[in-house]
Amino acid sequence: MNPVARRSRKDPVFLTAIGMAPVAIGSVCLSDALALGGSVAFTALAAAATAPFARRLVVRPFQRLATILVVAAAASLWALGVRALAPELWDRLQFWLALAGANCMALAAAGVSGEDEDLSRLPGRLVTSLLFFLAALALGASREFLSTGTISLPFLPSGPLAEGAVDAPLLRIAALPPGGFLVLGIGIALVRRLKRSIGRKA
Amino acid sequence: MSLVGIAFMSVFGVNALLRYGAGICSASRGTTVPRGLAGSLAFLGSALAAGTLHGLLMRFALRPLGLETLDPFVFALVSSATGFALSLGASRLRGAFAARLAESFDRLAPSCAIYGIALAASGLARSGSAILAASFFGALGYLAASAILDSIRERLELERLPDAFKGAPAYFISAGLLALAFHGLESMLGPMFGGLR
Repeated sequence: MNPVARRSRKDPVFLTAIGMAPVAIGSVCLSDALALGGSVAFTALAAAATAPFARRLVVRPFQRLATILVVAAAASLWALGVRALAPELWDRLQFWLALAGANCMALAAAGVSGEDEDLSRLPGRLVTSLLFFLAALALGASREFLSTGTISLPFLPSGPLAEGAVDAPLLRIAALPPGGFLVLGIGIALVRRLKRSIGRKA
Repeated sequence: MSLVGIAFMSVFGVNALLRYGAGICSASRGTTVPRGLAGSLAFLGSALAAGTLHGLLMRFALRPLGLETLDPFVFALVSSATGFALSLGASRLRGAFAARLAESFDRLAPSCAIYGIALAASGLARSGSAILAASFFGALGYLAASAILDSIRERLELERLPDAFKGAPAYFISAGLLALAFHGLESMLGPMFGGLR
């Protein structure tokens, strides 16, 4: 078993953040990653904040249901915000947005039974969510660059690299669902390699 | 989209990889990959019940009212209710198998896997029978892919890989390649099965 996984088994935000699958598949470009990564980070924080309250305020048989409903409401709220601000983006991502919300629901149900989960851990969860959000942005931006040769900024028609966009992209597969996993796997390996080489120099 | 397409979506869109890629989520309720006959039957039953109910609610209530954004909330209610009803039904039966079945129903209720199947079925299939078929084939595809991914994972542990690629990166890359194969299969077989609408 991965030692990092063992160490973080009780961190619901980490558990949620690990659920990269909908984000990895759905984030074909930076703006997609912004909506999907933000959804998971927001919903995961809602889950982390709800779990301690649910344990104190709700009777045991209904704790899991109460947490799931609050997390589902948070996911719906985020989707509502995306729909109001960027209807085209919502049209394209509604399947993945809903799925990312459900992922958080399932993992929140796991978090509510964690006995050491209390509000003092919330700042730590905030940092984990932020890191996850940044990782999702990096993934979306890499996929967009590899598949189109450009990175477009959200809410702008084209990004700073649009003029230099290549006619024949390096890796068109990066825009397909399988490309999400390939880029994610190679990305994790590169980060590991980088960390090791920095560690050797230090 | 074809039945193969829905199976593909449910497999790679609903976090079979959550457990596969990270290796930690078998400890999480709701993301447990079904094990054994009882687990598989419970998964098929939950996916069929929640998928069909969710599909019908989407078709007759949420979409006509423009309330699709409430989808996760409605699913939470539907899946909890069906999970409770199925678990209650199984607990009325006697024997160790029925007890395992009841426990599996309870564990699977909020599963993102079931939700993904329900979502794909309701989004891609329009008629009642198509929703039912899509839910069933989605669940079957998920079970098949879980078994394949587990076998690949066991095999990968025996391989001599570069240190940076050991663990999650190798799992994600092999899953990506498997997803690519499913994608090709969907393009090839999809037209033979035809659309579901």
